[in-house]
Amino acid sequence: MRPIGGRIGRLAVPLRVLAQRFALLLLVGASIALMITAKGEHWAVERVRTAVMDVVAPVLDVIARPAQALNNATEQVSQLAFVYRENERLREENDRLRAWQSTARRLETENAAFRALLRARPEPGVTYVSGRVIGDSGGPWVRTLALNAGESDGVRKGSAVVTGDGLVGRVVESGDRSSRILLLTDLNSRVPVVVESSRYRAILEGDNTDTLKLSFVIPADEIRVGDRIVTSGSGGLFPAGLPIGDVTAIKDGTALVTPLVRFDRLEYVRVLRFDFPGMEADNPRGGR
Amino acid sequence: MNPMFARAVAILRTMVPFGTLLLAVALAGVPYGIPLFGPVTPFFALIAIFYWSIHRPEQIPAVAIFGIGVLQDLITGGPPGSIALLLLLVHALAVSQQRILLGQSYLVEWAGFALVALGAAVVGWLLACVYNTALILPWHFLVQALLTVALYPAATTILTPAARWSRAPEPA
Repeated sequence: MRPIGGRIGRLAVPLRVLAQRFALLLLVGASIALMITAKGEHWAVERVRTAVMDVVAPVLDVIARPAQALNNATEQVSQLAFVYRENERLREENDRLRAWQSTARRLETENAAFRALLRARPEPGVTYVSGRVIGDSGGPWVRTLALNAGESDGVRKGSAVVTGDGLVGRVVESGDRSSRILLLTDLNSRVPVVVESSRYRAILEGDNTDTLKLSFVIPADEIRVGDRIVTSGSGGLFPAGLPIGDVTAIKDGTALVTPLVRFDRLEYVRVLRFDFPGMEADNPRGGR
Repeated sequence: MNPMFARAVAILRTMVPFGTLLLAVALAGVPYGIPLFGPVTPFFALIAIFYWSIHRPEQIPAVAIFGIGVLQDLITGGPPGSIALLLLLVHALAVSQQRILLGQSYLVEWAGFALVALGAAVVGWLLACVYNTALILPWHFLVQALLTVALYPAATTILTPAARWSRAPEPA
């Protein structure tokens, strides 16, 4: 007669395999359910994501530093080779900018005088919060960045994110100490813009590639390669006039825009905050 | 050896596969600053999942794979569940082919991984298209898969000694 333990043991193995397969199927189902829930932009998903990012942000911050230090070092070495030519270019640019500076001062004075005459409503004041990029989207799914500044620093969901070159994107999630930026190039990015020279309005769309598409309606003969695209300020989310990019090609009636910002070289960015005159800022610390 | 210390080391050894998976997730979220690299950053977790599914499947339970996948989704900003789904499918496939791949030459294992990585890229691309209800260009998914395949030998030079040091949990 065979011992009972041996029989149970022989039965336990297929049962364990069955349980493992069932667990696997269950988890595959859970993954799909999670994707569907996230697609519906459920508040719980956002809450969990920001909470996890708040915890992970210091770790990412530490891991990101060596990579960024290495990048800075290679950038400096490569720039050394072009330092003479770069110096010449900057001299010329400096001369040009000085001329523009005197023009800007004159226009600023004129503008203030005309505004006073017209009793125009003042533009909302813009302050900013600076943050360091600590996370990338790490794959082809989305175009986002993680930032080491959150609500406790004054970052708000929906705010525009810029560098000295132009618009980067907008804050889509804001935790206490970290936030996530949706880049202009992401498939879900839509920004109301205006063609700087002709003042035609349009919507600038990302499609997960490195160029952006102008949709809506600009008559084909009204847009040319080289035109500068800036934010229109419609919707009140972004300030008007933030530079975004230049039209570099027109294909099948669609204008393709190359962004001014190099998204793969971002290290520090600024999150813009609107402080309307007379309104007290939420964060008394202001810029960081 | 102090029994407490020996116990801690034993626990640590069973945690090695999970530790490498956590490292893979962290590496995916790092901003490398290399031109054009962001969207094609290698799928580090895929390498780790495939390797451990072949060599130590008992040390990476499906729940841990699900957790790692969701963590990567949350850190990188992707749709939660997408990476988890891909990793679970790859794990199931690799475990089902374990008997064929185990004991074969390294080139066969690498070729097996190449097929799995390309399959995962196709499934990932289809998922992304369905999720966004848009036709996304597949190139970034394919280049990411090729980079991941190219990285496999380098990654296994770290994972192989880790697997030797690691050991299966003792039966309860």
